[in-house]
Amino acid sequence: MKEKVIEILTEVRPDIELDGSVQLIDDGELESFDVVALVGELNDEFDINISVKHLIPENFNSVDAIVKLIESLQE
Amino acid sequence: MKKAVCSLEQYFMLMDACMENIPDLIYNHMLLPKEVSGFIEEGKFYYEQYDGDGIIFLTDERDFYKLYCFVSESGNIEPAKLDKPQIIECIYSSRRSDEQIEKMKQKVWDMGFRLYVKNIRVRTSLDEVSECDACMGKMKNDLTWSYAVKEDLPDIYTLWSLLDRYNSILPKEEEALGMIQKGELICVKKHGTICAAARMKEENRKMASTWLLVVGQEFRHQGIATELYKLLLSIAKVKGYSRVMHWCDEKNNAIQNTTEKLGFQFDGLKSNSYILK
Repeated sequence: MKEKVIEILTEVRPDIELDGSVQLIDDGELESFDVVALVGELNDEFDINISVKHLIPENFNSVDAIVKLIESLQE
Repeated sequence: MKKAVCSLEQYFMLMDACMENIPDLIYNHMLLPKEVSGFIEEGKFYYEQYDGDGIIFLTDERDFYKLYCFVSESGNIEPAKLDKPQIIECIYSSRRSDEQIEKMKQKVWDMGFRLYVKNIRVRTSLDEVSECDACMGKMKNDLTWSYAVKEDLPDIYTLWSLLDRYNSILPKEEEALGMIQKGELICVKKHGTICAAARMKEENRKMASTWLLVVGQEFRHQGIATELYKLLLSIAKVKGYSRVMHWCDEKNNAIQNTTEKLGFQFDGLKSNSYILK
């Protein structure tokens, strides 16, 4: 799953740094437009429904956070 | 009746209430906390509440209100009558189907909004871009460039008045002065007259974006837009960015041809703007 999330993130933003030290939202790597696009792609790929209440920076700050969000929605 | 949002805490409270009470919530866009804080600081952030059917946040963008809707798919929303046109921008990735945004587009239509413009996001890598031209201040066709200063603003505003005022957010004068201070505004002169201008700002440490790019009417078809884009890419390279992005009207073939030749490519993100006048 992590690899797929990285693949999608890199599709949405090829310039993004994913070395783990960067907070994707807090450090300004992702903007709101990207998060909207990302949510559409993640919903489609993982057959989940990321709703408005999940659209908080903590859920998108890192690949691990995104994976955790997906896992929680698949349970 | 629109009311002002005065703090980030108030925004969160409004959103929480909305999410608790509406099971079939759909949205056209989202806002990050830092964006909300910026809108509140600028004193341009408002909301309209619809009992049981959601909430619409508005930013006052001079010529129009931009709406951020968090509404019930099944609810009946009648937009407030305001003193300026209202615009709803639906953002989506063209690579995949997105049921949520399709529902939102239908809702926007039901609310009486009509499609105004479709924009696409394009970007390019700066790997092949030369720094030399920008370093030396060289441009073709008797053109010179400089970072804008306060005295340039009247001429720049005259140029900006050529832009589609519902598809570009024109800055207030104090905002434009802030851009000048940050070295974000660039103007191109021909024989001493400002003939083109653009804003380039940082998106993140690696990427810059261009906005409000315009060439004066009497200076068009002379390759000035191409020269300005080349210049912006060189400046971005000098400043250490590795990519540049911008949004453009899907139907504006002229600008798309110009940017494609410079390596810009559609990155999959689209935006449909709907207007209610």
